[in-house]
Amino acid sequence: MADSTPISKSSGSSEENNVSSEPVEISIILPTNAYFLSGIRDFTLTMTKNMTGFSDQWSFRFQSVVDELCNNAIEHGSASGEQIKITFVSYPNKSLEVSVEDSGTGPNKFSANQMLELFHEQKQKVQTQFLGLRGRGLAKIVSEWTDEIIFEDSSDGGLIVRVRKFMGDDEKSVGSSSASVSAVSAAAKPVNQPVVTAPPVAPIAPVSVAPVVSQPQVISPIQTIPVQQPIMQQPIVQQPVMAGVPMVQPSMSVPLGNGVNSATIVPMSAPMPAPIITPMPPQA
Amino acid sequence: MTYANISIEDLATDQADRIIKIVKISGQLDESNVDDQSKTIYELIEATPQNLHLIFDFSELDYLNSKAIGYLTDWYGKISVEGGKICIAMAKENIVDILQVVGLTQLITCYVTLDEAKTGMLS
Repeated sequence: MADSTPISKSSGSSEENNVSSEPVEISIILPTNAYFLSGIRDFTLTMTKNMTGFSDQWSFRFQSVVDELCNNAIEHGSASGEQIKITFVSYPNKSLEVSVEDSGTGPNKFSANQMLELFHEQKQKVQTQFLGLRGRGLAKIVSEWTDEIIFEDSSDGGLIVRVRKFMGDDEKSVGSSSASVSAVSAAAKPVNQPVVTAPPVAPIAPVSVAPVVSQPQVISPIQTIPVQQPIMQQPIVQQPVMAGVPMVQPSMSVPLGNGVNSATIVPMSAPMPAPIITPMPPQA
Repeated sequence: MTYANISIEDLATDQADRIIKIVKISGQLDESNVDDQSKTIYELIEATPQNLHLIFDFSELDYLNSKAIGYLTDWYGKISVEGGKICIAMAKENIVDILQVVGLTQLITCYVTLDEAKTGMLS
């Protein structure tokens, strides 16, 4: 079993929470049906409470963030009968990263750059008007409750929305500033070159150049930086993740409720190296 | 479909200039059910086009997504333009939190108790 260190919850609760110090990656494949989202929300809440070190308040906030990202992926980016992929990467007591990938077959498919543009439009709308049915999910809820948002074209033609929240002194308070936002377009990706982003220990914007928008915290696009020896994800270790979580071996199914049965939990065997280096797939 | 339920109760008042109803929403309002559930409220607004005062009892509401917030905002607009008013009572912390982050608490008052909400509507 992975080493686990009792950590007092910063929410002020008298409870103690066993949070493993090792990064954990969890991927879930969902059919494009809103019926399954309550199961994902339950999973997000439980996982964040038990495995990340974030407070209960932030666990509820991530529940909303994940729900909104999944809704967008289902409604806009994926056709009926397709699938979306949700990936959680927890660096306990440091950060939580969530990415949601659509299939790129939806009626309102957007590229990363189009999505960035749309995001700014929505952001302006929700800041200047309260009324209106739509547009609060990404531009308000996700934006306010994360520190980074990256739109990325996937090699399969879909869109990946990747968000990250760093744990800091303000983890119990509503963020006073919105997330930094950027896009990684397919055209900008060099073949077999990794994208390098900032380490998760502090809320630092991704390595970036050429700001194209006037808002100070918005950066686009991310510059891709060649790295000679990409550090790949640590090998899968066949061990349960942590106390309080069902004994799960990699590639085993985890019941999520609502018939969802396709989570794969991949504990990483060593602390995360910094910076995070995510190898990009070859351009199609 | 995620569970959600809406029940509506009339609040008796001697004030002839307003019709006050308590709308209790239980469960979770999400993408799978919010369009259907919202019809109940639109029917209510249609049936009482003027001076409708709604107290939303959120004591058993566990989740609402951005589309549900959008509907809530729309109901606020439709009701307030016709001399009515809406408020929220007994919402859980996570519900108040999300209402705050989208700025809705600047439009709609959130009361801790149902009695406070009733007093607010009668004043």
